[in-house]
Amino acid sequence: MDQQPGDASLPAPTSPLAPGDATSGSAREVAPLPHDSLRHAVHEAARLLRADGAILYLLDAETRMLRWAYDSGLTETSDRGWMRELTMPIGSGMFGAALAQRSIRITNDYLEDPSFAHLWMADQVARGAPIRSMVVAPLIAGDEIIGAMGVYIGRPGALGEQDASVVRALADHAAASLANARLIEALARSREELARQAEQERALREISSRIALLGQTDAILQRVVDESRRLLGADGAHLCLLEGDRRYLVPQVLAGGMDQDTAVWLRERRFPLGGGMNGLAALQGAAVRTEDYRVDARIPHEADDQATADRMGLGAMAVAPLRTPREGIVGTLAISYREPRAIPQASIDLLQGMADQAAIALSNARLYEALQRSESRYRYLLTNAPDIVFSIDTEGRLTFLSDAVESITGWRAAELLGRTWREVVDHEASPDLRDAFEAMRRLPFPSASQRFALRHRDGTRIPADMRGVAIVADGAFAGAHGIVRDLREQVRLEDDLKHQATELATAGERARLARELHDSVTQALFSMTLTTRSVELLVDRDPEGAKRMLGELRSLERDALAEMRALIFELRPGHLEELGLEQALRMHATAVQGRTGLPIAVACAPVERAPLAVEDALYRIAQEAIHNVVKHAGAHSVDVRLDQEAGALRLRVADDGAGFDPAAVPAGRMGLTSMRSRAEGVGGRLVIDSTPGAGTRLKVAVPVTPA
Amino acid sequence: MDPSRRDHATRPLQVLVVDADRRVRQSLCGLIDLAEGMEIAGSAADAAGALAGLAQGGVDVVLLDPRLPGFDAGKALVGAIARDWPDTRIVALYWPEDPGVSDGARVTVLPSAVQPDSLVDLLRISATAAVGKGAPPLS
Repeated sequence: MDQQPGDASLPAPTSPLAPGDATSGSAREVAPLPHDSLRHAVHEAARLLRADGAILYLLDAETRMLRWAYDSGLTETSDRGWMRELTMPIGSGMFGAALAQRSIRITNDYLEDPSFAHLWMADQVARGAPIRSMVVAPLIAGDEIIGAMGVYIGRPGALGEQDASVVRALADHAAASLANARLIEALARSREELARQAEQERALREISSRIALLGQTDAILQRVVDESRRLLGADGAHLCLLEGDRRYLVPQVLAGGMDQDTAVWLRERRFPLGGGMNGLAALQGAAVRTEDYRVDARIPHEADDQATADRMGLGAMAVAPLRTPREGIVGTLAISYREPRAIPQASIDLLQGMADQAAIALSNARLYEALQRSESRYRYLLTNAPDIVFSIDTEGRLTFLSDAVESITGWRAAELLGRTWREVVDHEASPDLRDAFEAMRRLPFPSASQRFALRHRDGTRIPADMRGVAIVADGAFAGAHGIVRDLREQVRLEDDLKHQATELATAGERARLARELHDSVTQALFSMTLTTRSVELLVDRDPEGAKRMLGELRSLERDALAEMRALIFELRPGHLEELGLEQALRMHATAVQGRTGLPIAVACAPVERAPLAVEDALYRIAQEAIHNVVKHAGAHSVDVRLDQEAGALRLRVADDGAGFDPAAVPAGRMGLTSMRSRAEGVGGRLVIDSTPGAGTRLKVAVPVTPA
Repeated sequence: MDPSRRDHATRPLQVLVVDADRRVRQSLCGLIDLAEGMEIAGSAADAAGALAGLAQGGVDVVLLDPRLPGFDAGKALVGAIARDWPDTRIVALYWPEDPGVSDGARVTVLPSAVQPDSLVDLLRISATAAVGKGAPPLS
């Protein structure tokens, strides 16, 4: 048991018990006063044995020497002063002997007694007192030696066994009550410990609750440092942060008696990692302590260190690292005492607890900073993004709009806030948007995506794409937010692409026409060559037959010329514009029929001239369709029809050929894709109806507004 | 085995003309009709017509432009003739430059822009060549 605090609380032996002593602690109000019982024992022993004096020495735990504590009946003449100064080791003198043997001792003549090791000083005191007969009883509680009590008489042989029993009884009683008192005191201390722990816990809790309040990092760190100093009874405390690429620690937060100059000076110190106590704790990632910084062998003790230690008043010191899960060690928390002393493990644990709190606060602060940075980045994106970021309430009123809205719609965000989305939408071009919103309002779907059109301030239509997410609160629709992208550029690009595809297709068609022209001319010439030879062979033997053959030759010539003219004409840009769709279709059909012998019937209802783009698209589609029939269908006849109904120009190409399964035709084959994109390019629709063995019907309808 | 195959001297060569181009088809028929020792067995504008003509029997040689309506109709027709009428010769007015077409070996290909008299001669020579040995393509 640590006797130090007990010693410190001993009342001055000679003075009567101070009343304050009796009420100084809650535990003492109920427990017998320990030192009062010692004093009582001394007095009683002297009184009961009618002795000249009684004296009680207590064992000093630190020096292991017996030191005077109480006496009774001593006078100045009996060398009281000497007796009170006397110290004895266990084993020497009669007191020491009693303790060494843990038994009561009795002597009839102290100075002459050979049964114990005499101490010169003690003998002097005994001679002067004088002490002749004496009983000494050890005060032992359990295993612990408390001290010894002696009762003496100036005559030899004056004390017997009975006296010894009395002294022993008194001593045992005193020892027991002292032991009890110490137990009670220990109990009280443990209660205090509990209270202190509660206090520590409270402090930690308070700090951790403050950590939740972001942005108060400095205040939290200051509190951690202040509380560490207070709770650990330290003279100073400081917190360092690891800086300079984790090479050194810089004192940031300080507490404890330190003048302004020292504080400023300290904040400019750099403690290298692994150097001082702070550096050691940071390097090892564990708390370190020293009973005396100034003589600790682990410290390099360079001139600078010593100067720091002197100026900060470092004696005993403990340092705990600030550990964070994300960054590892970020700093240290230190407490210091001016005087050397032992720092118990409990204090280290508490310090580490405080350091952990500080680390969490720092970690949070850094996270918060990162968050703020990313938030400011987000704001930057929000204000600089080309898309409109919006949010609407349950009624569809705009509650937020990013600045992009102005460059896209011509309206400033402030002008539109509070109005509903319906006011900035081109409804004619956005038939599905209202339904999408109503559906989301009824049953908050997590997200919606719509292609629609905005209405610009000047009334123009802006193709756009909206991606929205419903805000759901308590299961109910609470609004939505999302982004709107301006598709003008995309639509323009798509148009360009379509145009290019058309041009490419046109180039492909020209190449095909040129090839057909070549083939056709070749075949016509070949036919004419053959027929001419036939005429030659017939001239002599069958003049009539030769004549008939010449007629065929002329017909071949005529057909060939017509076909070539048609093909060359088709190759010429602008032929369609000149002829009109109907005539162009007829001419093409005639050319193909002449070449292939496949009957192609063209039936045209009276139609108005449509825009050239529409006529061109229909003409190309018809060409491709007829080409397909010739090439793939093996048909006996083809039917081409053109008419107009309900504002739409309609083309139909039907054959009685082999037919095919449209679903089984690979993309890009038979020009189906290019035909379809041509139709869609002018706002029309193309349908192919075909089944194997049942011919093919291709239909195109293009809405036209009379020019 | 058709015994008439060995009797060219007494029986005119029976020629089936298959060409999608009406003009070529008609003029070929006219010329071949006038040529010595050969006759038009029939003419067709597509593969189906050609097979119908072959089914009539007695066709010695098919004069063919394989560019017929329908996917790969010409190639399919050549395959069908080789399979079902192994004694019938095929003379092509044109052959696509497709190295993958192995049937080319069974087909006598006429040179492009062949003159009418040469055409008749080549038709006669290729038809009398021993079947199965495969006359080298004329080109």
